[in-house]
Amino acid sequence: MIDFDETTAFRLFRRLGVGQGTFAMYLLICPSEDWSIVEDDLKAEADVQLGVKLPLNDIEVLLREPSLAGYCSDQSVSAFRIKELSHAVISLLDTHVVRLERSGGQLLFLSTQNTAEQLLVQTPNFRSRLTEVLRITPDPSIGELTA
Amino acid sequence: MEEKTAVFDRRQVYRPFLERLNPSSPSPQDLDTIIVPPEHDPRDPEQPPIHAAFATTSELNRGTQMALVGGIGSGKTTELRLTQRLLKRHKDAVNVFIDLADLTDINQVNPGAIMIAIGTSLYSRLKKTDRTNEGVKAAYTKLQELAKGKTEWVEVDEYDDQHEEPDVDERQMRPVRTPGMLKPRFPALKRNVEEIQLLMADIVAPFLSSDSQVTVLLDGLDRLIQPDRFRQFAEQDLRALREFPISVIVAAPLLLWFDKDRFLQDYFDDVKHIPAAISDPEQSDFLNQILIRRGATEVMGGEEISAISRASGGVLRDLITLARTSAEAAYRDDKDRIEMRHVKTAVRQLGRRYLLGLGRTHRRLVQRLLDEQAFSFESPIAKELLVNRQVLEYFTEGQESFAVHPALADALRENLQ
Repeated sequence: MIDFDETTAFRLFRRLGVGQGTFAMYLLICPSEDWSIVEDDLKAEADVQLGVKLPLNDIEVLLREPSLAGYCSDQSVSAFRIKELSHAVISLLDTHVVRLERSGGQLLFLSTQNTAEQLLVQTPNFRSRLTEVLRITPDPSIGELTA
Repeated sequence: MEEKTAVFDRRQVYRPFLERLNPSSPSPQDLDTIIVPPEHDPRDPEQPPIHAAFATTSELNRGTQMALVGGIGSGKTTELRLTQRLLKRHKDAVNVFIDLADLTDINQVNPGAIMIAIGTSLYSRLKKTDRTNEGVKAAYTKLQELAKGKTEWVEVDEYDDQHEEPDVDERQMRPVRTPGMLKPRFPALKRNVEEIQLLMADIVAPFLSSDSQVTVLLDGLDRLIQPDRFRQFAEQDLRALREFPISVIVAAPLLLWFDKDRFLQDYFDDVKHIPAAISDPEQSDFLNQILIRRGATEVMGGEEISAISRASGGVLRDLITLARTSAEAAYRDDKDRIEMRHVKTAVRQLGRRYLLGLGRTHRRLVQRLLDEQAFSFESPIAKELLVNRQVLEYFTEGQESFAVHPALADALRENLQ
């Protein structure tokens, strides 16, 4: 297993704050059992640090969007779950990655280790344009911080 | 009165730099400000840069078809944009830049679709008076129908599904084909492609009657999941376009450059290849200049700039990614300048990304290249390594050579320890 750098929603949004207004794509790897906590963390940090509501949808939502760039550019940050790979998702992320790029926004893709590895192998154009691949863990609770 | 004190905000140190590193395709303004145009052909220092060569050919030999190949992140789109800008030096030049992925799922489209995209774009560049011409208008409407499909109400013929008796007893007839002596170089145009070709003739007629110089720059086909489909597009759509004095410059998949069939070299009038750039700053300061033009000296020293250039392996997009990740690492570290350890963090991150998907055979090929400088691009796995930029192709002093991406080489060493 490749050991990507670890982050939390707090630290990730601190970085996103610096790069606000520029295009960025992060692939976030997380075991599926932690997804709901991490998703809540991401939404909370988007609200607190950037003052925005984070839209978080399955990646398939983009397949139904005629204006892909338009969908993403309506938001400064958008997050998508990649639960499984299909030909359509690979085509969207690889062949049409420039459409995501043109959105100019910051895009977060949440995936498991296994799916992320398969995805990166099959999407060289997407891999090349990723800002970073990170392992994301739930933010420590206040109790853990003070313990 | 309340005294105002300036508060130091570290974000303002890095934000302007990150904005200039924005990796999306260069805008026309970027071409004038932050892009460093290559000074010569990357494969031959004696020759003009690719964009200058393409523009000259397009201006002097209308109807020429040219292809541009290069690995992911090698700067193909930038070269196309620079060509487009150069072509604007003549007032009568009509230049159309199309990224096909913007218009359609190029993995799903059929022959003819690219001609429709070109025809539609050229129509939008016609003068208003030409657009109202009946023939042009009808051709455009038909193209739109072909592009989007249409619903027609037709009378239902209740006998439609019944087979009519043939006039001739078909059992007595069977086709006997005698193959021709001359095998055509390319397959015949499909009927729908010929139909679109006729419509194109109407749309481009006003340009041709005013003797305009028309150049179409096509981006996106290099990202086809199955590169063989590119061949199909070229043999149908681009060949149908040869009917007109319209120059075409198209970004093609890298794998076709290494194809034994030499289709690119056979089909296109001119093919240019962008290998990875020289990454050693002592041999060429091209990569350093790219970072300096984007404001690198404001946030890091010369050593860090050179370290990023070297670790990029000459892949322009990786150069940008490394600079960006280094800046983010320095910001996280509460430092006002990027230090060498931040660069190392960025290189490590990039290297790990390249490690993904390396199976045992991949590793064996990579290790052999590292140890013995031996690499053959014949096998599918070797081709995969090239496409994924884990192995980079260089061209120096008239020789093609291969090397493992420096960030991957570092990650492999780290992995072994």
